[in-house]
Amino acid sequence: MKLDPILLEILNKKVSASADEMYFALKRASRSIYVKEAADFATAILDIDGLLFAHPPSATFNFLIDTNYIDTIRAVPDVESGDVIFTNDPYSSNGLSTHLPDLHLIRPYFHHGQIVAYGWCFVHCTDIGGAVPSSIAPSLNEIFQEGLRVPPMKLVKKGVHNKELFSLIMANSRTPDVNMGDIKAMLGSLETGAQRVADIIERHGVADFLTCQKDLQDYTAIKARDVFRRIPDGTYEFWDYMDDDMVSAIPLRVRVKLTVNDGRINIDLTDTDPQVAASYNVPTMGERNYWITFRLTSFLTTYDQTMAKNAGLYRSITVTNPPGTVMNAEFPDAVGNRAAPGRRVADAINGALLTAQPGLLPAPSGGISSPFALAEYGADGAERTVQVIQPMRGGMGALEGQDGIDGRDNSLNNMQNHPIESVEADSGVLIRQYDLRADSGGPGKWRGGVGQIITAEILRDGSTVLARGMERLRFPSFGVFGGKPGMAVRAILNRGRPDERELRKIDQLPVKGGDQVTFLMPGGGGYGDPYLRDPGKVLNDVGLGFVSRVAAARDYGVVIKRGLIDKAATKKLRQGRVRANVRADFDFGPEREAWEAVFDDATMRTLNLHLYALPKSVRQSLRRRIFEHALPDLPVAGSGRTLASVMTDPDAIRARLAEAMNEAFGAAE
Amino acid sequence: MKLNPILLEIMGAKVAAVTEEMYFALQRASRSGYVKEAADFATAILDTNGEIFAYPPSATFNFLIDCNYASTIRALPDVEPGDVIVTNDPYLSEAMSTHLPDVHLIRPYFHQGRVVAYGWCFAHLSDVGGAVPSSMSPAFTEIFQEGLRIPPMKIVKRGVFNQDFVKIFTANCRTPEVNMGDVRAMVGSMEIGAQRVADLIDQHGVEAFLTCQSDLMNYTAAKAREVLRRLPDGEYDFWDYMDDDMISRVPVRVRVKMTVNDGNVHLDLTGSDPHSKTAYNVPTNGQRNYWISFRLTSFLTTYDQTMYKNAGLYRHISAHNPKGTIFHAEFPDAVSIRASAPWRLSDAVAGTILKAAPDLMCAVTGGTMMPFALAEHTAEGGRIVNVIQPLRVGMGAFCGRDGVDGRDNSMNNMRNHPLEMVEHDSGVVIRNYDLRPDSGGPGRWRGGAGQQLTLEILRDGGVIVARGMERMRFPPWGVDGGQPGVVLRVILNQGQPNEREVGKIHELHVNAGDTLTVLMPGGGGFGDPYLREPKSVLQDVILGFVSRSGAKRDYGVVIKGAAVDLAATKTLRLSRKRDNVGADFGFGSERLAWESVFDDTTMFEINQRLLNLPKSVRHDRRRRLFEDAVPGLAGGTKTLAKLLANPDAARVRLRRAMKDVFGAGAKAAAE
Repeated sequence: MKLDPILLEILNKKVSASADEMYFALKRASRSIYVKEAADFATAILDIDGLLFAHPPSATFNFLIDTNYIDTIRAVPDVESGDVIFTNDPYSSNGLSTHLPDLHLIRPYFHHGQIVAYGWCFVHCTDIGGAVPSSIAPSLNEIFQEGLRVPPMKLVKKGVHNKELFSLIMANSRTPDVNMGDIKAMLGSLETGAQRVADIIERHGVADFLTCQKDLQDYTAIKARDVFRRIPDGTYEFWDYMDDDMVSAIPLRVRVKLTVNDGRINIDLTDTDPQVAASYNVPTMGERNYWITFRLTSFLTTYDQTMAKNAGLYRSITVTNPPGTVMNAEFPDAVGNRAAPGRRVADAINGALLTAQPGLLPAPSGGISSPFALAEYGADGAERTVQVIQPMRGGMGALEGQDGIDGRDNSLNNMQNHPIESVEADSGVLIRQYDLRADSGGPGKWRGGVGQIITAEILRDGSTVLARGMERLRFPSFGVFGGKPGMAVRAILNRGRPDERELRKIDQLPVKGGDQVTFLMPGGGGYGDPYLRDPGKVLNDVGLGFVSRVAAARDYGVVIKRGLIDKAATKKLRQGRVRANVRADFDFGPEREAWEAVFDDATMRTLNLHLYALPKSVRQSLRRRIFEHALPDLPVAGSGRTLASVMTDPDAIRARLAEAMNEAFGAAE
Repeated sequence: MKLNPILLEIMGAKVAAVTEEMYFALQRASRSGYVKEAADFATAILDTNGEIFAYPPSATFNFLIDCNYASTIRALPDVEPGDVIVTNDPYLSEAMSTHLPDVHLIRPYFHQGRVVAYGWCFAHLSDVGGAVPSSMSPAFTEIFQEGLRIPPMKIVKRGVFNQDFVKIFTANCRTPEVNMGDVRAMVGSMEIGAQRVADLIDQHGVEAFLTCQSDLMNYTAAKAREVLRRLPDGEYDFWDYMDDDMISRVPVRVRVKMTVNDGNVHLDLTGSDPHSKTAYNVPTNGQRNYWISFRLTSFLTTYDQTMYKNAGLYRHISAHNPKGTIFHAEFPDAVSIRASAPWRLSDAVAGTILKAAPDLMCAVTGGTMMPFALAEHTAEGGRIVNVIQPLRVGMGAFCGRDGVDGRDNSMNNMRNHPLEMVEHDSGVVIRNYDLRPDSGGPGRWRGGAGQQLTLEILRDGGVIVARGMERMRFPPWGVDGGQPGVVLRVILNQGQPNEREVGKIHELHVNAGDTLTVLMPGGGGFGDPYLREPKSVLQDVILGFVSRSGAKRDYGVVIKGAAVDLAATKTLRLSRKRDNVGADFGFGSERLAWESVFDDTTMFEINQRLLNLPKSVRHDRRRRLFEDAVPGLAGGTKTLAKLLANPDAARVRLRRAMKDVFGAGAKAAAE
């Protein structure tokens, strides 16, 4: 570091304050609920190499720091003062945007004709066209279905709007006015950044401004590496599952091998399942990307809260991200729901770190974000609107020594709660219930946080419910070191009525006036043996409604009578338990155990090795055929039928699997 | 007319030759199957008001002459020499383009700083993005699903391509290289138009050039009116049906009332069914439009082949195109299959002309198209989309003449694709490509036979996309005792254990070894088939147009060996009950069954009440109404004749359903 520590700290505060000012300028000028309420946007300042050096401390999430900005900057080489670059396309921006609704703007900041920094911001816009309102649906299978693709180009040229680009963006969105509001808010935010950068340069000189960019990153890199040194050297493997790929009922596995060496970390995604014919592919372009590192971002910024947040965080992290997997989308794969596998990678990294060092991390959170949205026609029947009703939350996993937080999620905590009053004013719904879901937290010595529950009544005919990112209907978040898994997700139409219906993953659900949609969100995993939980805490949970009386006895061995603990009965119950029921490491729940009785790690690695070698078109249908041959009546997650119930004879399934693989690949082995 | 007739004729031939040169320049420079093979494109020159005054005589279709170019021109007032305007958006161009794959270009032609004409061309591109390869599916419900919308904007500025536009355009198409080939071919075509217009002005002066524009249109208008005067004055109404709207099995009716008064023709579409929830809506901007007038275009250019084709053709045609119907799409209605309803309208216009003057029009053609395409992955992992064949129906019979086999006069703009090309470009083998026996409607003059095709898929993971499938339920009708043609059928794996009848296709997933058979409908017959010359029937049997059993059943002609059994034929023909012969139109049993409940008056009443409902609930209410009135209609495969065997009971159910759907309670829920 070249600057003296005091000046560096001053500049650190000033540049992050600039980013913060950009952040609030954007938020206050926007008109969209995504920005104003859910805060699904960000701002920052990048150095001349496109590395982020100043991030707003107030931002609700910070994992986008680990993003490839430079390729978009390079794609538009002939920039001038007052230009603003725009893109939303994952493929032509090489993973700056990772799905089309994320609109990214970059503005070069000039000083005496030289670029001295770049302002950046993005918003998740309400709709960018494509096959469904909000532009995201799990079942889409090509990026062409997901909306307008804008490759990196100038949105503003020397301060003058690119008329054609604006009119194309307007014409290809269902919500052009709201989008335009967001885009103008972004332009304003970038202008604010330009002024502040000019102010700093005026005060401190351009040399110090440029030097601080590198110094801040170097400083953070050193501190980040110190955090990583808490992880013992070694190699740690872990995997987790998505329920299915939407177009089939086959679970999708993500696999991580973490290698730690003196504070350097390599994340190897080899043997993760192949790309799918649905929108679950992650456009990382084979590089490190925030969808791979975001659990480590939280890890770093939790264990050292003094670090400046910038690209230095990632200097000691490398990835091995081979072609062919769902974590490495290839054009024209659909990518809208890229967060779903990203979250399972986060949970797998979570598991790997717990394997390395118990206590370092909590059990995983509920692990889904399902922004429940409603597309409806206005009362006059003409205009169609799309509004997010509530970005529903699971509970957090329990930590050694601390219960998981209820109705919050640390895995992707960028979305704020929507006030019910504004939801009911903006959308044709009545919220009948918005609460925490009893018994959903994984039982443990430290209890997993409970998930949320919402019941919305639809007021108008012809409406459509959208809920992307639904997962954990089949495989719950796992419990740790004796802790139990949280409860799985459920979605129910017209709960408690004669026409009640359990829903599967939602693509587009048509609803009519009077219908009620209930979402029951997952709880976080428990930590430690629940029979060791302090009965007083269990009593407290029962009193507060987090745990039911029945579950207190069943899961915790605590008997509660008339508001008090029945100590004798509790002691008897707890001592009567068979010890073999307690898992020493991870408790994944019966569904995963049933699945892995056949589709174990070695089998899946062999299968994938064969599949990767095939052209993609053949690969996807063949993969499906193999699983369907092995397990002809594989139930869909959320259908009420379990894997455990159809996999009672693993040997027979294994035999059929071998048969199918022989037929597909020849009897090579 | 201000120019002398000789100069006008010279100018007329010259401007037409200019458009012709533009036409072939575009076709030869293009790389797409749509342009090169199917000829789904056009070129023209517009006057300063945006009306076509010069049109290529060689163009495979000419109905686009009746199109609103002026709104797009007005949308960009600040044009300069060398600018080219592009748009494909039906709403923002106010129905110049009527679905997104049709990309239109307009270039102002300047002379000494002022615009003296506009070059225009369009091409149907292979793909403009959206939810399915080829960007068209009847299942779409919003234009946002149908691909990239390009508002009127400059694609070329003073001779320089707008690179931002090109980047976005190519990023949002599945076939960027082929599309850019077409776009460049279009830009080149209009450059040729610019040069020729400059040549013309050089030789004849700008005044003569400007005067000839209105003179040519005036001349055509006068001649067109002469043709329209062949129609007796009066009011004629007629209606026809689409099979359904794809997401329900409820038929969609189109209705026209034609009023003729001394060569002025007015088409009133009042009473046509409401907007479709699916992609069958027709963007007309509420105006007259080529999708409304195209049967009259053929009528005019058939009965006077000496006219210059220009906007004057339509000066004596007006249309009433009220809000709310399928012919008046409103943003953001999906429109990609906008040709289907106009085909039925065209047939209905044919019906009104037949009512007015039976010797002036033939029975209807098979009346559906099937430009089905295969989207498939290549060995390298890429994806290609190719049109396999724009399959053809047969033409309707004319008073005094059989219908043409395997051809269609209703929208004959798409040419046959050579099988060699198809098999080279796509992973298919064509197993059969033939005419379909017995498909032409029996009549004294037989309806033309439709085509049939069977292909085998060679690669796994293919997707068949098709559009415009109609006449699967309501066949092309016959005239004056003539019988209807045979309906469209599509069969997967015909003759195999996994044989399956396929309905209207959104996306049909196919794998190697699958076969797909398409049987196209024939045209309607004209006149009583029992009056057909037995030797004509024999000839049909020998040539394979009619089967031996068809000859006997439909024509009362008994054939033994290779000769007519005259005695048996006579006996058979005499034994027929006279009341079996339809006096005027032979609509077939399905339509008769349907109309035994849903007659004209009832449909007027239903539609009026539906139009009072907000659009968001209209579709679903309409569907509920019919499904309640006709149990088994939804999802069923039963014929309407079976479902409506008891019309009285259906009428009672209909009344009850109307009360339910339009009643006070229903109204409150809507608000």
